[in-house]
Amino acid sequence: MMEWFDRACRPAWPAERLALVRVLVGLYGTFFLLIRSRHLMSYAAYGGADFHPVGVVSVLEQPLEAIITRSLVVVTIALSLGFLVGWRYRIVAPLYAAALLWVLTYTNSFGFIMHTDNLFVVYVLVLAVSPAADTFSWDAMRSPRSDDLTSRELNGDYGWALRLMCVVCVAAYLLAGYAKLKHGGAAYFDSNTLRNYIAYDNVRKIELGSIHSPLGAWLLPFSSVFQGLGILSIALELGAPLALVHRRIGHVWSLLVFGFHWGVLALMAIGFPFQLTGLAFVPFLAIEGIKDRALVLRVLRTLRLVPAESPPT
Amino acid sequence: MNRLSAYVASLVLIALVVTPAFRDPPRDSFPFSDFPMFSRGRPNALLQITHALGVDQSGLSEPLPPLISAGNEEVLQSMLIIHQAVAGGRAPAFCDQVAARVAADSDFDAVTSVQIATSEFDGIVYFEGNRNPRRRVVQASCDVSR
Repeated sequence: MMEWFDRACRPAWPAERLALVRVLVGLYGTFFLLIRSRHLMSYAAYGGADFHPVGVVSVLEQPLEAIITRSLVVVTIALSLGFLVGWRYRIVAPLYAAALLWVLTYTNSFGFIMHTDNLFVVYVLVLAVSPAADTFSWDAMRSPRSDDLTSRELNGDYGWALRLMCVVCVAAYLLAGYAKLKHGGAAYFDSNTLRNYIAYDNVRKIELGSIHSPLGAWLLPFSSVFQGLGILSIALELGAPLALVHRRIGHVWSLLVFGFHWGVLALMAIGFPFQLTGLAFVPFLAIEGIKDRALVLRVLRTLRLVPAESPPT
Repeated sequence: MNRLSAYVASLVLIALVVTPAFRDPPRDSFPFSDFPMFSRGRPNALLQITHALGVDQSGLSEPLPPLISAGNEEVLQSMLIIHQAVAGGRAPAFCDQVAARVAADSDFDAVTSVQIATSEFDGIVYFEGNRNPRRRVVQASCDVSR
């Protein structure tokens, strides 16, 4: 029984799979931080009246000095590069995870808590304490291990981190479904709730001078569409644990939730970038096969994560 | 990480993920949340919103975008910042700050004054073509000085 449980929690998955997840999440993180740096730094301008600290930022009673807030964003961007290329990973990765957690929690400490980056941060936390730089990394390039890759492929440590990311992903959706049932009862099963939410949210965006979804507004007269979508979304959320039962169910569920997020973007103009890129669902996939694709190989070589000319394995 | 450490780390993380939903009352935080967004029943599409409006010389008003209204890219964060300013009794001073951002941006040259207003809409009626608020209370009004 214990052996079965251990195999389920720490499956023998290859080092390359975990390392590729690190590279993908690392690339996402670096681009995310660079693109969002202006926004992240904008919180330096807010005063104590707007400050409502949450999470790790709760240790503060007042906002940080502006220069510290901006500097932390710059430091986090620098650390993201070390995480991406796997440089001095055992030190840099936990520092990156801590800095990212701090910076994003800080931006959520001014009255409104966004839920778009939760999984991204949690995945980085898991990757940071896992052996995700044992291959495809500067550390591995500098001092290749004496043990052969085959033996390391059978190490459950790689599978543990990936499996934990899958569990956390599933738990997040399950909790979202649970919250809907707890707070709204059977409301999501009727034709009005989701329709009203879409009308409400789109008006809110227009009246706050932002973009809205013309498609969502156009569909409002067709209330039965929203009943179907409401039931589908609840089913995907409450059915999330099935994704852990079998690999193929995990694939199908991931694909459906990936589509669900694109639907949310189309109908409500709400973007969950980590989910929209598909990266939230990568731990469900055996992605090590992509390492030989020309584009992936080029990225790995550009980042000097594999030898310049030889294949990665 | 050895096997025991892996199990302990897993249990801790899963507990952190799950507990916000089972606290009484549930507590939203980051990155661990009880996911309250869009979770409650919504029998109608009524909404009351406090927003910043740019008014031109003819008296026509348009909502100002988040970067101008609150100095923030995030639309819902801007909503909270405006709401907190009004709730905190700072509406006139906040209006002046918005007007200063309007004056500094040439895209808003036609805007001559700013209103911080609380408006009520019906989302369904709104998209049927009637975009007028059911009610509007102007919390503060100020001129744009250029």
